[in-house]
Amino acid sequence: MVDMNTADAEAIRLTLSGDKDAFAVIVARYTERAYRMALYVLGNEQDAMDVSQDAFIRAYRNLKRFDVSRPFFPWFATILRNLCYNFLRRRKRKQAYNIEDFQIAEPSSPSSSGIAVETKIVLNRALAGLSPQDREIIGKFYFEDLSYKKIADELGVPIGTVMSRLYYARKHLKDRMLKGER
Amino acid sequence: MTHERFKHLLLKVVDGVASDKERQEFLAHIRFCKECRCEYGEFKNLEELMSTIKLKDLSEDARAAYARSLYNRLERGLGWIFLSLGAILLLGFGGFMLIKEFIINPAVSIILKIGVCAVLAGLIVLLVSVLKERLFVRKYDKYSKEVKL
Repeated sequence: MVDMNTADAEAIRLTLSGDKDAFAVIVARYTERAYRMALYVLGNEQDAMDVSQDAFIRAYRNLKRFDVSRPFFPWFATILRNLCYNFLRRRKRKQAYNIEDFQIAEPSSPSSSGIAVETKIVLNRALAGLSPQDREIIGKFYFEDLSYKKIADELGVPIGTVMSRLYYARKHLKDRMLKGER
Repeated sequence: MTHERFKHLLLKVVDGVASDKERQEFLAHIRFCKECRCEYGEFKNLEELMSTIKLKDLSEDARAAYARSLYNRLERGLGWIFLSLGAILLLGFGGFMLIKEFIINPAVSIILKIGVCAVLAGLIVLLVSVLKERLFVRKYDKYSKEVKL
């Protein structure tokens, strides 16, 4: 019997032995992360939904190749990233984020909410103008709250590379925000 | 110590992962380095702003719709596989029978037979070539590795 407490490895073993419901645990556990990860790169809700679903389908069909002694998400994230970048390459488009995709955390006072909305618009414009790679690393660091180490694991690069990319991504974001304010 | 190293330290200090020694070293540096001091201030401001931003969570309805759509697509995937296999078999068999009838038909001129055979051979070569290219691109897809910034 599988439930949300079933570990990834166990759920995958059960899926491979024919229990299709077991994969539902994996999907439920990683839907949000997968969707967001695709959203950072693609910048569009509907595309993020479609491509992240494609990634689950691809993962399900290739589950036999997965080494259950390793964590599931980095493996899945590689599939998802490849699909996202292939999607961008095919469509040759980099759609802007929708303003509604973000929300400001609870404003501390009524006067600050006006500032927050302004800032939100500037930030959304700045994020929309970043490269998918910059948006991806910004998303992982700020919105997923992942450490350098975890980002490095997900991207398959050394920590130094993560820091370097993060440095330039923030620099680009900051520059774009300054341009947006003018 | 190079300036690049201080940029590295700047990140660690802003992100709160620098050791006490590294932090002291960086703070001492920005006392006389205007460039790093400005950059540190800008990064701190960005940090404060980003800490107030979060993405919307997917609603329960959206999650349920996502799961439903995913399983429908999985089912449809199987359907497409069977449909494609069946279509390939039927079309292949139908095509073979048609060509056989055409070739053995004495009423059709030999020139026409040669022409049709040449067109078919060309199509087969093109199909094999496209398949080979697809397999090659898949094998050496640059996006299958790390995507460089």
